[in-house]
Amino acid sequence: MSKMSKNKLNLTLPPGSIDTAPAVTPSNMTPQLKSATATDRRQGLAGKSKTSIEALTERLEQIEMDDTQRRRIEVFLCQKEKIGELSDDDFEKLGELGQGNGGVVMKVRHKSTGLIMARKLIHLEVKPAIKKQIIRELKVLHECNFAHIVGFYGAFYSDGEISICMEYMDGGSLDLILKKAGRIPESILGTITSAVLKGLSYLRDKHAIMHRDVKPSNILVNSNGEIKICDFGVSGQLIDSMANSFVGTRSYMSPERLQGTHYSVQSDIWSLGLSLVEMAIGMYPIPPPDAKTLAAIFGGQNEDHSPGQAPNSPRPMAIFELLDYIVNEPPPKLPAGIFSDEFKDFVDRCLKKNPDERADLKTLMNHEWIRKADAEKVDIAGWVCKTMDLMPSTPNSNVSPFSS
Amino acid sequence: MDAENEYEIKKVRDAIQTIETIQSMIDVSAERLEGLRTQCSTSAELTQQEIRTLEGKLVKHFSRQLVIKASFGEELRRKLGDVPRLAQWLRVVGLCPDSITAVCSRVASLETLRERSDHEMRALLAGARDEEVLRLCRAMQRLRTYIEALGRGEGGAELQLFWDSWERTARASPRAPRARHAAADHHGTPHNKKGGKSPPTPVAKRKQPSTLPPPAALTKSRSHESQLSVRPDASDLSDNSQSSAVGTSEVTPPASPHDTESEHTPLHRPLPYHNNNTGAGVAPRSPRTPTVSRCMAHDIAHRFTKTMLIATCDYCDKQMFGSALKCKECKFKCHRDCESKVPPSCGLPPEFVDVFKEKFHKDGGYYGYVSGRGAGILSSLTHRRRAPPTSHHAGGPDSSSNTSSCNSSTPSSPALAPPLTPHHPHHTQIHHPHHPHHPHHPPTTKQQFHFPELKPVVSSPNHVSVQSPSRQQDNKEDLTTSVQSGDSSRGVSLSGSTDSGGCPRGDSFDLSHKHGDSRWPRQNSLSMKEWDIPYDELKLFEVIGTGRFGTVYRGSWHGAVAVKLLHVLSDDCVPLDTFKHEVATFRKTRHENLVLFMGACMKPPRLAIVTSLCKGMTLYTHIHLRKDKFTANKSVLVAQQISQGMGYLHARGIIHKDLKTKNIFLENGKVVITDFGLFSVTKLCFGNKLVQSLRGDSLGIPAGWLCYLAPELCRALTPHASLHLPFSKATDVYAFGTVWYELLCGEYPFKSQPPEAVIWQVGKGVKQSLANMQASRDIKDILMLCWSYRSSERPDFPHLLTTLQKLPRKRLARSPSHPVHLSRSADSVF
Repeated sequence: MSKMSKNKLNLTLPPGSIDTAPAVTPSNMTPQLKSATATDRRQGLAGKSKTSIEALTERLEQIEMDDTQRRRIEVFLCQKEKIGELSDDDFEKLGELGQGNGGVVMKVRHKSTGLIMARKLIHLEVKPAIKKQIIRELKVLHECNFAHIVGFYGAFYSDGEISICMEYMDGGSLDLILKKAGRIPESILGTITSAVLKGLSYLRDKHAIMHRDVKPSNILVNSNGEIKICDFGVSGQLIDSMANSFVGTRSYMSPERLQGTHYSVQSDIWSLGLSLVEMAIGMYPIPPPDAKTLAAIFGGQNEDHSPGQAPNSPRPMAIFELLDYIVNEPPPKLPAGIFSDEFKDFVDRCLKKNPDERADLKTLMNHEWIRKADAEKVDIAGWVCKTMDLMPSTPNSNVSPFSS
Repeated sequence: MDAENEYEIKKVRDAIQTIETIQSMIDVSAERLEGLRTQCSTSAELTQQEIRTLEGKLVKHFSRQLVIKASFGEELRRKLGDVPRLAQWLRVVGLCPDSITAVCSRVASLETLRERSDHEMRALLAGARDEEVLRLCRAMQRLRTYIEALGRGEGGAELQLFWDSWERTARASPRAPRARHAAADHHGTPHNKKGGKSPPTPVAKRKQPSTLPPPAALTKSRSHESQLSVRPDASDLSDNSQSSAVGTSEVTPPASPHDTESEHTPLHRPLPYHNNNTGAGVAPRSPRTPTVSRCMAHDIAHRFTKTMLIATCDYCDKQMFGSALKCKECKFKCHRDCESKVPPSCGLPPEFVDVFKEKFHKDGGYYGYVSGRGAGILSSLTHRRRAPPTSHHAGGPDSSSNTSSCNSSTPSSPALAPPLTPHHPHHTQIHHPHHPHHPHHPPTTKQQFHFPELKPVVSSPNHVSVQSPSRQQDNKEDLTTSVQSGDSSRGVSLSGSTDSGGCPRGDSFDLSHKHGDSRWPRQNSLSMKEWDIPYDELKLFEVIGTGRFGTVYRGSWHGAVAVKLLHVLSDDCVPLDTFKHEVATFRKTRHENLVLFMGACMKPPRLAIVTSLCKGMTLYTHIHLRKDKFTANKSVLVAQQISQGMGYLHARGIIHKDLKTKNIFLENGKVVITDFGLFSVTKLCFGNKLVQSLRGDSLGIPAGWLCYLAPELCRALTPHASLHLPFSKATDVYAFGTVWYELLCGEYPFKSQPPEAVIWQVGKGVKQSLANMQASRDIKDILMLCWSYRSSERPDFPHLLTTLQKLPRKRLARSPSHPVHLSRSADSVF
């Protein structure tokens, strides 16, 4: 029938975008390591046996982290050990931290230990079997112990809501910081990017998962200068079960994902690139700001403007328009003359529309801009504290001023 | 990045690709298998062969996946996650959804399940039918066998890898959520035979001792018989159609392709017999009759309706307060909780009920009872051959000859309703009250191979319907509707297959009748004022739902009603005029397939809309929560009714704006559309304010909403209030397309794609692929038309209705001539 061809008529897929991106690259990890993981999962999580902590600590040694980072994770694990199964009664509300996709994030105190946590509540109306599956899937998070991954205390279901209890990061997410700071300096971004890349490769190499939702609001910082990613797609069932989703003025989704074609970790790279441009110029870069807007941003320094609402935009774009821009228009880039060439190049490599042309994690981690950032010790802690008006805290960031 | 590493990567990628390719083959085969089991007559040898072949194929596919996966490291394993899919495997094995959920919640993967012993699997399936356990054990064993063979490099070896997963009984208990639950025991499965070539199973067991039907059955059938002999011709025919309907009710219709049919057709050939046989009254009744031989030959389900009463439960003898069930026919009362345990004893004198109950449960409750049926049928067959037909007659007047040579095939004759149905005067008496509950309930669809899935009711192409009250008794949730389209006569009801039960039975029949007389006049005289219901007069009970527009309560206002209380944030944001205008539009709606609008509370901030209370469940619940499978026929019937309701709405100038399965109720097969036109009212009332205050710059997208939005709507979505979306009749048609897709596929289009991806793709004109969909070209064409990118190319509802009515009824139409020929040859087997 003639109708059958209609579909094709309206399809405008850029060449190459359908090509399947390379699958997750197998890591070089040893089989032993993996089997340890499996064992942990089986015995540990529910009943926190001593051995699981030991096994985890042992594994920590095999992961690239410096001593400080390792010590912090050990501290975290020790604190976690004191907490048994979590339940609704264990918490005291301290305030709201923000809205994640699909739920509220509350700042809470774990009553018996005094630990401050971030508790994400996701409203779900699903069958018990599905709930159980979600909780089970979330348990993978227990094994995600890494300097750049937000720590996980546990998940449980109560009153129609799944609660995910995570490490509290007092600096908040980068989108909040961005709102306060207007823009984020390149040097800070370099360190942040390095951390995010490490986090992403940790997830990929050790757990074979991709993030799926890299964006400023999913990168958290604290007054210790730690940078961690959160909210990665660990539970497919959770994603499927979420009652509501929100689509806003911004989308960090890669062109290939929008088109419904196969996607892979390369998709996260796009999202990272887009986030970087947004944080660097202080506004969501699609549609790209015109010269006047850029001049307004970078010419007269500190000209106060709220991100996302460029002076020239007459009306908000329809969602479809925005998405179609991502798919069919040239990718955004950093304005010339303001940022280093390395940074510009880095972003360009991330924002290739064809996932195969996009740089992969490994390449990016060896990118000059990242190496430069790693070499130069940037005081993230100082910057976070200054921006967010925080008191520089003691190494144990878990005990916040509220709890004492 | 050395070469070796590259090589490794490539190898893994290849492996993943292979596994994915296999997966797509699995998807196709599994779907086909499902189709064969549910939509074809599994009694046909060809179908059985086909099923076996598919089973074998699937075992191989799954085994290959497992083997490939096992040969790679953890990395690949993780990456692949749930492939091979455990749930899919279990579906393939032939477990019911409940069992699948049960197994999946206890076992993480197919690999794990593979390790389990038969005993452990039995434990996993605690509570499931023996049949299921057996299937699982056998299928797992096949899987292991083939994996071993692969391990030895003998993947090509001739192995018997099937496990005969079709259902062997006809009728499910009225409680069984799906027809498949009513599995027979697996006796007679010829797994020891050479694949596919084995003769139909029952043959082997023909010699089974039979049980005499108990007195109750005799009584009943006798009365019926006498009745029959008095009315030999016309009524006889109509009876036939009824009884056949009864017999096949809960089972999926014979969807078997033509070639298959020709194999098993004895069942479908009755026509000639009709004319030849005068001895109908004494003819051997359907072999189904004695199906309950292990219990008793009484098998008439109650027609329970929900009532409020204080009485004693006839089942457990305990007191009942409030909500209870009462059989419309025999006044049997019981707790709602007891319903499942109540034997199908409708019409049985109380003294028999107790005996029956006892026997029934001794035989292992319903499932035991059902599974006993296979043997029962067999024995009945043999029994019939020995004993003269007269001893047995609970069946319908199947006008078959009672010559012994024919007995095995003849009973099937009544099943073939086609010639009688289309224009027969008796059709109009379908809802006839004087036809209460036929005693000869036990279905008549029988043939020598006693494959009961056949659904002859819907057998003729132009045959509109057969619906008998007696049939209803059999079906908890029957698809029945009055089609009142232009050319089909009013009151003719469409009956389709049903495969799900458990939903309280109402009486759509009576309703449909009353509609005409009582409601219309009242409406005409009403002015706006009369639609204004003072809020104080409403009584609100529990919340029965929440939506974007507000909260729905079960309420009371001169009887049970549904009250939709709109969320109103503050007085000033309520454009009362708009609300009143919309309400004025609703009051014009009177249609069988639309919820009855009763009035509204129009004093802000109390804005509420009062409608009749929908019984039954929404299509959403059926499809997505209960995972009920809709056969093609049933889907068509539902779609026709939706088209009818929507066509009416559009003719009245009302755009639904929110047509979705959550807004469509199924009340005993009757479609009731709700929530029309409310979308804009509620948007006007509170816009996206609530959401926006929380979310700033984003649009909250409820789950399962996007896929109903036509391209022009998707393109118009903004992060801000979606107040001015360009809804039109054509967008309703697009939404209907999605409903149609859900009915056919059991899931949403663009499943598990993120909202942004759906918006872009739909906005671009990309449609959900139908490549994996098992449906006829006609059906897919309808879908594609509804989903046309250009709104002008979408059909309107009257047009859709015509198209749907033209759809071949499962290709059951066949020329009466060659079946006869075949049935003869089938006879000669005996």
